[in-house]
Amino acid sequence: MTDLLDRARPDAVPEEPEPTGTPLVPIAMLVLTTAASIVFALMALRNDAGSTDEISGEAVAAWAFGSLIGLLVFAWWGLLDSKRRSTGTYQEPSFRPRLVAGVLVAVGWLAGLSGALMVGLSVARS
Amino acid sequence: MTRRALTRAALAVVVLAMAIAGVGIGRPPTAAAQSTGSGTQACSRVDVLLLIDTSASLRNTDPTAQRVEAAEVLLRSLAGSAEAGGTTVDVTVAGFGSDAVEVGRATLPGGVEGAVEIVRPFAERQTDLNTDYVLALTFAIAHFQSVPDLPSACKRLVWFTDGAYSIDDPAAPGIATYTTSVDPAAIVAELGGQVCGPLPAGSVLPSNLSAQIRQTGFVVQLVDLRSGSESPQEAADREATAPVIDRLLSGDANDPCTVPGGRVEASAANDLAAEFFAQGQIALGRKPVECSVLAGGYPAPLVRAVTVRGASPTQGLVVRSGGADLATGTGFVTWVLPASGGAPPGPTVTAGAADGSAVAGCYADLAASIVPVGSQTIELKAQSTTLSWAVLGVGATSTADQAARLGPDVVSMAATLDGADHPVSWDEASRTWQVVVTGPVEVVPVVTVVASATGYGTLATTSSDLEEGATLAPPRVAWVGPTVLEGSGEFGGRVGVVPAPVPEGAPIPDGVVCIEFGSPESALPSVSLAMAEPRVCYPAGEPFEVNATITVTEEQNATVLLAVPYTVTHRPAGADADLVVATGQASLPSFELTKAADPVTTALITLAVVGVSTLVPLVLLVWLINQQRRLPRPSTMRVALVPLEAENGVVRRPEGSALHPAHLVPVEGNRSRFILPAGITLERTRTFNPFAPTIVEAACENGSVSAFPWMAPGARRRVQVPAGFTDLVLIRSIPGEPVADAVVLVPASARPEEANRAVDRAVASTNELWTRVSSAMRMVDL
Repeated sequence: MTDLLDRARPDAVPEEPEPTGTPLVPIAMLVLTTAASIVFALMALRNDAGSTDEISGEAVAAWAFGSLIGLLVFAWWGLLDSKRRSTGTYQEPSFRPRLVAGVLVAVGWLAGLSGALMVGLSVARS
Repeated sequence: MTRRALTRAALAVVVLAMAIAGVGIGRPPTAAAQSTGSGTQACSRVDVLLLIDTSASLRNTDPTAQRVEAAEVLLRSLAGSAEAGGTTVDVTVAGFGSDAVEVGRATLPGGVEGAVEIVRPFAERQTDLNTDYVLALTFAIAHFQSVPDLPSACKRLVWFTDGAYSIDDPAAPGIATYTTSVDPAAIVAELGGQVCGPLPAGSVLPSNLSAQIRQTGFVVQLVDLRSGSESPQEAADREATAPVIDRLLSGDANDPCTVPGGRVEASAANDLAAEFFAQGQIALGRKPVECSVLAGGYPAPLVRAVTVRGASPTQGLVVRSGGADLATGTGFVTWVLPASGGAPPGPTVTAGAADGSAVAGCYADLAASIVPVGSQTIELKAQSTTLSWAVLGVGATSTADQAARLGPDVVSMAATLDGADHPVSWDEASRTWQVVVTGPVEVVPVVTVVASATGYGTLATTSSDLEEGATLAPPRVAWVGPTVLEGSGEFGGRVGVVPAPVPEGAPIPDGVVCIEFGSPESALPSVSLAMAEPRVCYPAGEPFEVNATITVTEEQNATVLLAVPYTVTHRPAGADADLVVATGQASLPSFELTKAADPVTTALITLAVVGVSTLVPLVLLVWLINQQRRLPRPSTMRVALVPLEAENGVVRRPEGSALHPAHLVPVEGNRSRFILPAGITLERTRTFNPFAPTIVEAACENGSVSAFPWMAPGARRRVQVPAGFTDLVLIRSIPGEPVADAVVLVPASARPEEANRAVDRAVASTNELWTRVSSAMRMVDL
């Protein structure tokens, strides 16, 4: 939104607001959820999850971290980031938070998808 | 999942009970196979293959043909020993190099001169370019396969070489009989696989040589001349060959490549005679012993043969017992217990130089047998069970004569219980050795007792679970294949049989091991197991696998345990009967039966799970975004209208214009829409974009509107304003008209002065912006 909003007279505003950046805590949490999703998905694959009707705990965890918690955290980050971008004092960090968050959530979502597939296989065998 | 866990536990209990019952059936609670074991049996006939290197390197390592003199010593000592014992030795002489060729045969002792004549031409046989170990061993295997009527201990390969496996002439015809490779380096590199396996890609052998040797059953005695005058190439060849030969003859019974036998090294050609003499004695079943021990005497009941080699060809030697000379000779002397019996007159047998001087080498063949005495039954629930054995000397066959039973004055005994050391005691009253098994026990233990003599070693071994002569422990039998069976149909796998480790010092098993399967049992009627072959045999000591098929006739989700009874038998090389070495049930793992997954159902479920999990956060985000895009509560804001003058795009407050408290009035509207003076509205617009900005829109029905302090650039009928504003000034203007309006929104707590300042800032900002815009437009016009 910085590109849509413009400060008409910055020097005319007596209270100069502090510049804001992207919220980092949600991005850190995205890193954790994505990593957890990948680890659980690998564990599930190694344990041949989905090969029987027994629903694998690892597959459920991979799905939960990647496709649910990860997306929720991403939504949270998106909300906070959107609000900050609307303040007019937003300064985008050099690490391109939108791209990083997008890649993280996409990778986590794919790992979660594999977990969901293994869960789906088990349910389909029931 | 809880239900499945309970089901699994219940199944495990049921099948475990079934397996225990099966074990009980397959293995009765008695030590049914009680028997004696003995040490190396005396051979009434020995077959010796003397295989002599004929490669060109001998010109360098043995230029004076000491190997021929050594072979003559070997043949004469074999003849002397055979004559003393009233036995015969069949000798086959062959050479190997670029090929392996039989040169002649003789039967000792009568044919000793003929045998010597056969080996003498080997002094000139030193022209072959290759030193082909594979051909040599293949020749030996073929030779001993033609002698099936002798135990393996009575079949001896005495193999002389001065170097290593080397191929300088790859066109030699014999090479094509074992490999398709033609490159010398590649052929040499294949040696390890040809001997120990797995067979290299180019091999045309039916199986690796060590397996063939064990299956055929013979003992390999390698005399390796390691001359210090080797060329660098010879040293490199030896470096490459040594690991393979070392493994083949390492004596490590747990190495599947190892075969019975050993290797001795002669550091010089002059040592060959001594080494050949020793190998001859070993071939006859004697083992080197300390000459001081032999001079002190071995217990007479144990002695089957002794040999002494003098320090010189003229040294007088003698074998005595009870003051009587049993044998005398010069150069060497040997005494063998007559086949007709007749124990030595004294309690011991001694041997050495007649004058007591030092001798060059001593060899002895001692033996005993262990015979069970009394009941050999073990009751599982008994508090203790005593097993008794009698040890008999050479020639004694009956335990009826208690005086013939040997005690601790003659032999030492040791015992193991299921592989762990266990006490064994001598009972003078019954003159038996006894082992007490403390009960109750769950399964019949395997008790092994070993008799040995001081200064000699093991004389005899027997086990409560083995037949005579057998020392093969039960192998491990296990399933190799899939354990998750999807849907119905047939599923292939293998039952692997892995030989048990052989205890240190125990003889390396030879011959053939067979496994015979009983009727497999299944915990579910819809699941069955079938073995491809009910009985299979492989060389002893070698792991092998048997194909098996599991058939599932009904799709289901369940856990099933399968059990297959088996009986393992061992037939040592030369033996004419199978010995049962183990019975039990193959320890198959639990199998998971599972229904096949329908791809469409799987895809739908996955899509549903992923779709819901993806949509929920997005819907939540959209809802939150829309919540954020609401206007402030109207009750928290005040609004005032400030008329402005406009001229050429520039606006200004009229003289004396000022806001007073009465001008600040409550805002009309709600959190979705503010209705403001001068026809201006602030509206909340709803969005389905989860990443939409948190803004509201200011709209003017009549004229353009601009917003301060934040706004989208320029004045339009609709402009976006941050939804979270605290104060806001909206300026409405109509191009060409001299009047404009400023609508100021401030918090309800704000004072009129603050509203005035906000209006002033907005007017200044819009004028400055207009100045910039008009300057830019003029520049464009110019």
